[in-house]
Amino acid sequence: MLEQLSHILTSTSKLNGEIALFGGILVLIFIISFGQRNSKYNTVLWSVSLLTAVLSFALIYQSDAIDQPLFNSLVLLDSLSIFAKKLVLIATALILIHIKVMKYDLEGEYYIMILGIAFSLCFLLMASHLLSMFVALESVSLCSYMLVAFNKKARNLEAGIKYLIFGATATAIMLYGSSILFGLSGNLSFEGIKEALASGSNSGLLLQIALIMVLSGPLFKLAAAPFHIWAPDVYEATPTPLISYLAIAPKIGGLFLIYRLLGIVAVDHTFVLAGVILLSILIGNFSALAQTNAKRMMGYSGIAQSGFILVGLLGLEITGIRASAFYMSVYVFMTAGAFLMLDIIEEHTSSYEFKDMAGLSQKFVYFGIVGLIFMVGLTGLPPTSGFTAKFLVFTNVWEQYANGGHKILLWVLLFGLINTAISIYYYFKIPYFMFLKPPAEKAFDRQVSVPQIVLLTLLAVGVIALFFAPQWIQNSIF
Amino acid sequence: MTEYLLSLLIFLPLLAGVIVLLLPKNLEPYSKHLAIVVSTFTLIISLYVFKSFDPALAGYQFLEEKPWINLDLGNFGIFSIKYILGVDGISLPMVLLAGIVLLAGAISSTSIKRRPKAFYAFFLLLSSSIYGCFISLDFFLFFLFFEFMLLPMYFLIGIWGGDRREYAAMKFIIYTLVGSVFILVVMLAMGLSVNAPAIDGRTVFTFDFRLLGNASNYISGSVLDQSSSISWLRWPVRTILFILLLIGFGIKLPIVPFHTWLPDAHVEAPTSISVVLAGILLKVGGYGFIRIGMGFFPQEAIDFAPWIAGLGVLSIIYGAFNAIAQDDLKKLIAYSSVSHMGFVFLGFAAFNSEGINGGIYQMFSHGILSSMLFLVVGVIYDRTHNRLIHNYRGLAGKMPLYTGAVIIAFFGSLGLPGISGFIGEFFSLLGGFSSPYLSKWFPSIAVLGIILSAVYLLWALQRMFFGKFWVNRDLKDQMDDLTLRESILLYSLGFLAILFGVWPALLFDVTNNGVDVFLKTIGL
Repeated sequence: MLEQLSHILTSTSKLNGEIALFGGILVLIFIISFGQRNSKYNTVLWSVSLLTAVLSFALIYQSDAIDQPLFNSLVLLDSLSIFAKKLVLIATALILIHIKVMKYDLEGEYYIMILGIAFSLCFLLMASHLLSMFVALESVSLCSYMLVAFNKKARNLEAGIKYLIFGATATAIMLYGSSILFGLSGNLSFEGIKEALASGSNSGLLLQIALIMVLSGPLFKLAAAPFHIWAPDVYEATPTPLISYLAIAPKIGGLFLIYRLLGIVAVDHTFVLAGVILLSILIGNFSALAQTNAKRMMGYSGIAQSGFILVGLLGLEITGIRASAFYMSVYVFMTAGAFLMLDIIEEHTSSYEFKDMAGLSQKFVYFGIVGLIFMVGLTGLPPTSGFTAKFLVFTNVWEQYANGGHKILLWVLLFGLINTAISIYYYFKIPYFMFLKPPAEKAFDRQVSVPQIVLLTLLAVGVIALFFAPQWIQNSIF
Repeated sequence: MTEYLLSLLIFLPLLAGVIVLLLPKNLEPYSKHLAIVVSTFTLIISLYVFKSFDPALAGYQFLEEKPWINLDLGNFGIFSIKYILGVDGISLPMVLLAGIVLLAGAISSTSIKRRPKAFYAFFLLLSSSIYGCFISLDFFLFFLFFEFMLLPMYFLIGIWGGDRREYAAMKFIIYTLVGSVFILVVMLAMGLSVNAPAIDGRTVFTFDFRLLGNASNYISGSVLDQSSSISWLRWPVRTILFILLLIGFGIKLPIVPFHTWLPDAHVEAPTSISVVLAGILLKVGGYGFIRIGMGFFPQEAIDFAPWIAGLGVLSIIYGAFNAIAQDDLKKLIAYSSVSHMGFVFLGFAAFNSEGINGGIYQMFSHGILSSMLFLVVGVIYDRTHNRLIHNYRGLAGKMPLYTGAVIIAFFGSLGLPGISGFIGEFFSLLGGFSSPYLSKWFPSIAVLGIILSAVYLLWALQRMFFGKFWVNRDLKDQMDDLTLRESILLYSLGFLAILFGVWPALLFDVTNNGVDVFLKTIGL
């Protein structure tokens, strides 16, 4: 009994970052309950949230990886999860700053939801047990649904309901898969399942089915096909900084969870994963081609990007997961930048339609050029780190193929890269309209404010700097 | 100082581009002066490099080597990407050509009035990446410049082009991007199959051209090992990669049937950009193909020699027939470009010293002549904004200086002995006839292309310049002869065309030894 208690106490002491996040949420709730609803209080709430995120990042930055699982093997604090948690908190801080520079006056509940997502993602990233995985994944989902539906406009409610229904379905499938896994192995912890499956003689087919079902949860978080249907509607309806967050943070969780799940179920996943990748890239890319609304386009492009991010997991080599992690890090900067750019554009044109952006960069030359960097990065052209990211994940594919992998890997390689060339058509619609089209009748009277340009420039510098020095991130990935 | 000359070629225009971008509004008119000065400087540097290059030595000269990115791949090893620059007999003529064409482009750009600051910023970025392509000796670095060329070009066509500029720019970027994606696949595969000397006992993968070219560096048993028999879709993977390179660089060159972006891009692009596009950008395709396609996949290239030559001959004939049918002078010249670049592939496919020397000579000479041709179109377009041949007759009497330049350019292009075009085509054909890998049919049909080029060029000359002076009524009063700037530009290019036509040793002295070394390294 006493031993258990001390185990829990030492375990708790390792999770300073999460405790800080939780404390921040409590403070927020306290202020909201006793404070007033005006923009002065909202600013206070914003500052508390940012402070919490930064503090939590600092605490996680200092923590060391531990090989032993904590809390009776519910969570595992390895270097992988530390890296991913840092990424989540960077994204959180970026989005909070985005909210401020765009002068959104959000109510306190939004910040609770944002920190809540960060908090549950931290646990999701450490999960080493089916139960903790499920609880963490569900709390990420719940916070996300609320974030989408919170401002009670019909559009948001519709998107929220869509998100909820597809999310609930995905969760149910995942739960079913987990129970099959439990049935086959008699174990709930990842380590236990792995050992039991390795020693027992299980039906490969059943295991394969269980794996596919379990993957549906994280695939939904990644917005990867076939769990992508919610993405465009939710992207279009949700306020820009919030969708920027939902496009980034849950993807981090989904990616690393898939990596862990593939690690415990030792069946050949090449075909399943390759199928998901090809389907995501295909659906995302070709649907994005026809969009006229930039946010919907970003929704479909997010589906395709998920496909590219997953490419690194093929073969489950450490090189691959490092490549995917690098892609994910770059994706944080590119997506946060792209959404910030769209938000600034919307401030001037009151629209996300491509045609309304016509001639924008003839007034804001610098803004146009910085914005161009994100689109070049998302396409994956040098000299941006988007290129390095694609380069690294496809390096992994060739590596797998050359070491006697499936022939399907070559298809992934060729098909994926050709899709890069297709994607330039829709990513370049933004610079196309901004640079090439003559401006509309009405002039843009306002200027882009300095904080906006500074944040945008910082993100762009990140996207470019990581091309010239990818080792900055590569060497910090576990 | 001299050890950083090649870096200067890249960074001088890059720096100038950034400076132009940051120029305040009131200094904007000076951006063109800066561009011309920088282009002159880079031309002087490339001339100096050309002069002091020692053709007797084998291998690369003016080498610069710096470590750049060392990517840790975990248990696989280390990716070592280096910043390596150097020139040899194959790339040196292209560097010189880049200097000439870019200066011509910068001078002829002075007629651009709209948003000159942005124009010159893009122009200088483009210059920097063009030089980078020809002098980098690391596949990754080469690819970086190769892809980076797309962006400035996209905007140069898309902002300053003609009526259908957006369409042409998008078509250009998608076509070339598909091509470069194919090259990227090959780059990935090669980078992971070649060992460099190990560091701390760990495997090092490299993109160094000097190591990629040596068959013994390939990891034995890997997919790209020369003796590897691993196949995909019933083709050996090496062959598939070679085909990808053939298409990738073929799009850039361009080779029929991947050429359809070129007429659009040329017709819509402003004059000076057409000059750069035809004069030097297309050559990147030819250079890349010989350096990477033939250099690193020699056996596959020899197996495919009839195909390469066949594509070349197809381009020659198809381009020529298309040119005959055009009424738009610029389109005619665009198709003549397709036709003339076909000789490059024919020469390369011969796999002998004459053929490859001829191919390189043809690239050089086409660079100068096509720059002239597009400037010729620009002259008439600047005056009347109309390029249709049937609107003009008997210009010779009214514009004698102009007609003189046109005659040099046209006769040079149709292969008149004494002008550079003749040498290139002659040696390409000679190589084709004496090559053991090609049937005599290929060069025999290609000769027809010369006759066809005489048809379309002389016919256009006769229709537009001879006879009694007549222009379409609306255009009447604008037919002044060449300005001083135009005369200097056209006649100095004309002088170069004649100089290299009567004194081919100027270039052959440099290329010949380089080609011999090249043939030796690929085992011929």
